[in-house]
Amino acid sequence: MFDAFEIFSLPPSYEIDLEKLTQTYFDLQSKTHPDRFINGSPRERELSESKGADINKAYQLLKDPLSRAEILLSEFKKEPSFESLSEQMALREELETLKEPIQREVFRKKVEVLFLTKEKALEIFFREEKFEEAAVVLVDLKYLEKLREKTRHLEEAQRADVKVPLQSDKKRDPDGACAPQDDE
Amino acid sequence: MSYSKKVIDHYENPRNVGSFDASEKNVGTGLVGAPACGDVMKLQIKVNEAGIIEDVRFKTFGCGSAIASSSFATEMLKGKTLEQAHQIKNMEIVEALDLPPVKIHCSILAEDAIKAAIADWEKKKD
Repeated sequence: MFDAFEIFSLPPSYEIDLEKLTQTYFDLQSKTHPDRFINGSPRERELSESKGADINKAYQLLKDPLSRAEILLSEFKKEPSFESLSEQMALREELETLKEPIQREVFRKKVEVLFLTKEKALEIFFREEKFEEAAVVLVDLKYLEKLREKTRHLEEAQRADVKVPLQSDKKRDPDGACAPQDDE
Repeated sequence: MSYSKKVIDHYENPRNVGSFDASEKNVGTGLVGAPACGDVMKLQIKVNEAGIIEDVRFKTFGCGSAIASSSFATEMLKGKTLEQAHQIKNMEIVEALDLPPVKIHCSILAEDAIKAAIADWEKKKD
């Protein structure tokens, strides 16, 4: 089974040394690089390619705090609570009403602060091994991450002086930012 | 990935967008979401004394398929009894909108929203 922490010979932990992680990533990649197996058997070459892909995937998962948390909290998976959904709905409705660049800028900062506060809470819950609580905060963080992306896109569009309507944006890919999940 | 004409139609011209006052006694509110996609879906039904869904509103923040699924659900619900509404299955939405397999979860979210709205209305009645 694919285990990102195991690939990097790390104990499963939320706290991680990013510099060391990146160093290990380069070490692992150079060890399995297909160029090293240029004279190897097809089987060896195939193996090095699939290992390389696993290493890439593991690195992407581990370096991102939210996906790292998600791996660690897979047993504690939570459905979003009513409070959490209400909060997210209210934030998105608020954003819809903001037309002035300055209002959106203030909103973007508010979302940023909210995100960082909850991220800090997540870190503390992990340290105190309160995994149930961590899973609740993780749901909010995932929502806030999407909202953060959206506020950034809006700002970029504004800078480019393009009008971006919120709910019925016809230019945007209707697929939006919704990526298929691994478990589907 | 290409979308069916129906998805694009509902995405560009969503039906019954808006809100009812959630505190009204004849209104049932369902609020559901999928954090991984960033989807939040609110679906509200207004039920008359005969137990028929008179009117429906929705508000969805999310991808095109999630918006289309909930928009289509509001059209399905109008005029139905609560019993009939409860029978609605996500596959009906999938078939009607021709959703691709990776978007089936959007239709499940819409079914969940319908069930949550009915449950909320029933809870208020008691």
